[in-house]
Amino acid sequence: MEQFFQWLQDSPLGVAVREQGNLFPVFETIHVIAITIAVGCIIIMDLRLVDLVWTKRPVGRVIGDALPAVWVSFGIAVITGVLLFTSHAVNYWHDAWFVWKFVFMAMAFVNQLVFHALTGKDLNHWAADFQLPVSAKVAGAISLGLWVVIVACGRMIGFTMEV
Amino acid sequence: MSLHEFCLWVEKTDLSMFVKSNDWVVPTLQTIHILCVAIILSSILMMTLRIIGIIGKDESVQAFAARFLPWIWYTIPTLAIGGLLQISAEPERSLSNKIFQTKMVLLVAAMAGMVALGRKIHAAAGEAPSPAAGTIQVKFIGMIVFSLWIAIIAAGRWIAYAIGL
Repeated sequence: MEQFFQWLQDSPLGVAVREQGNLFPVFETIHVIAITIAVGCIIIMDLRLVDLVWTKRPVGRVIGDALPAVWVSFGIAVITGVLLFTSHAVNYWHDAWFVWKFVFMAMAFVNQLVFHALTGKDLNHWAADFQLPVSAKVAGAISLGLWVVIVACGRMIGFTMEV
Repeated sequence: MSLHEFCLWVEKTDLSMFVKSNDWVVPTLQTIHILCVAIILSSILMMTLRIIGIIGKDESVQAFAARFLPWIWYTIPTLAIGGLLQISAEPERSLSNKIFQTKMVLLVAAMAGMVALGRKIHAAAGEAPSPAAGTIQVKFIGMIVFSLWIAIIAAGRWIAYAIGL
């Protein structure tokens, strides 16, 4: 793993992102914009799922409104994230906050998969006044908590990573 | 009192000392700041996509605005308080930074745009309820406001790269 990250860091791409003018700040700015859209839209869906707000609009509709924006912005965040990673791959790998960020993202992903496969199988048929199952509210609350922590971990990397 | 003198005074306050001397404060403030921006930008995006007619066509533009505009206004005070606390730690670094000053101008423009957006959508409801999409004017304002917020975020990130500008 370490060898691969070292190779990545020494590759022309890694060198370019690290050393060429404004490449790093530009990718970082796009990364932040993409993350704010992705996390914001996830928060919208989660708040509906815990049944706290916008209860007049069915859960399936709120998810239908927000989910496409999540996938597009998340895709942009992944691409720019990989580019940023190549610049200091080994250093990122050694940063605990970076590693935790990915552990929490994996947990959020599993949470979402489980929700869509089990609890939310037929969520498009849930009417606005449908009594949401507790498992749906729990999935929403878990997702909400995890994404807040993921943003915090991401922000911490900039303070703790040793270059 | 010059801006420089004002910054020197702020730096000596207890508040500034507190933010500076505790390592966890600034990252925590910044995390809250990013989450607030996430709520605002995604709310604007949802409204703009509805206004253009891409999502939620089974519901009126007014209903979308009623759902998302209040969230934006609730979130802005939190952003402002968090921003002021961050400034208190290093006033000179932000207040005399050209990018920061640009960001504040963009912010005022975005807020004016959001007030206009809310009014136009409200007015349109009285004239002719348009379920499919917003009026040309409303579409235009929506896209401008969304672009302004993108620029605000870019400027925010760039303050750190433009020290001394």
